[in-house]
Amino acid sequence: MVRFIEYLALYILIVFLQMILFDNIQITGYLNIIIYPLFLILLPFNTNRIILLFLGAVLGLTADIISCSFGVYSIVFIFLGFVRPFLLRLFVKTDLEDSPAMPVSGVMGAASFLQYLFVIMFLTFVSVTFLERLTLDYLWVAMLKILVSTVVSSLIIYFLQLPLNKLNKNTWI
Amino acid sequence: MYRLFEFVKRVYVFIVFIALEILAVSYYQRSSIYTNAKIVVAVNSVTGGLQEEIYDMKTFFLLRNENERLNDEIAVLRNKLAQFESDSTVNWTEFYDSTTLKYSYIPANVVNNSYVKQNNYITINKGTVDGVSESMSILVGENIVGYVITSSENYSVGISLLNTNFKTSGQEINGKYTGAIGWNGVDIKKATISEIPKYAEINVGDTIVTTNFSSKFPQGIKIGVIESLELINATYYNAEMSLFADFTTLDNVSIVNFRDYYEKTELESRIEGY
Repeated sequence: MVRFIEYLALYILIVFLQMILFDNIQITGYLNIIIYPLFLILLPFNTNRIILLFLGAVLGLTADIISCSFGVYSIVFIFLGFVRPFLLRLFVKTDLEDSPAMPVSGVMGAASFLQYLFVIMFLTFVSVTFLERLTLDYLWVAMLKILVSTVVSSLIIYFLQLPLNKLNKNTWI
Repeated sequence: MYRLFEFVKRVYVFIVFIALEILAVSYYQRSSIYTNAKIVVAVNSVTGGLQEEIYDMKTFFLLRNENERLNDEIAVLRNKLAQFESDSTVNWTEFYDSTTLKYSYIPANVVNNSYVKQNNYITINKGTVDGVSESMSILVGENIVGYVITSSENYSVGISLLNTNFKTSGQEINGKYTGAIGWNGVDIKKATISEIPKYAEINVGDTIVTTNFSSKFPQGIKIGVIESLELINATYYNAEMSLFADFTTLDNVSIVNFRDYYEKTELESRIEGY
């Protein structure tokens, strides 16, 4: 129950930060900061796969309402919920797969966490960009936008999860 | 039966995944800029005040530039007015009668504006109680920004020119051939004008303005300046232009009400395929 409340608080915090802060940081048209996937990234290693799919759908619906892009984020985050276990298997030591711990850099190792994070963010931006555009025109410019947004959003997410390392060490392992 | 049960047990995650994706895709397919904007208006009625505060904070540091822009705009309008009023053949009392004006302008402030997405929207702090309604154009100074797609009592949401679904027509300022205005979804300072007939005398550096075909925009509103041109299949031009409006600093805007909008669109709708 405590864990449920902690994740609910995390969900609200992420949505609030995205809406209040990151949706208002508009430095250039090439940079779109999205931190929604942080919630799916931080769900415990042993999260049930069906729960992952439904949480992806809920997160997607929230993001679609806030971003006025009905359906796009739902499609992408359900997909992320589906592929997350495969990605964790790629980047995580086998003994962690069934752990109730939170996948943060302190548990996974900074290099593994960054790879896991970067792949999720790259998949997010590629899917969001092409689902919104539905065209391959200006492909190189779109790819540049995807790359810049992936790198900056990944770095922001990396720094946002750092305080959770301490919390994770104290309570969740 | 046991085999079937075992099979379902093995693939049930995939089945749930496909079912959820089908639901999301059907939502995605059925949505339009209008349904999306209605959701934004509904969210705004809850978070409108908060969004306004945040946008005010963002634009606070741009106030000096915004004041300069407004001063310039006033000077241009005063000069135009002085020119017009020197014309003694016009009955100015009749001219200023608000009931006979073809267009009327409603001042508004932007309370939320995105420009980093593919489909961007603008939220303004005027709604139906202020006389704002669907299809009114949104201008900053004398430049095109977007048009209103839905309104609540106190707020309206407009589709930005920086939205891949934005469509209107444009033409060279002194020309007669028109093209379709659109946004490529990437560069916030540039838009495209396509399918201008090859007979058009159009060059790099020409100014593109709105046409009299539009029911939303008054004719002659500035859009951008042509930066590059390409002749396609020796039949028409596609061009890229730099936009006049700076979408990163939108604050004070004007909403334009075309009084004959409903009469014109209703008449056009009577003809099938118009």
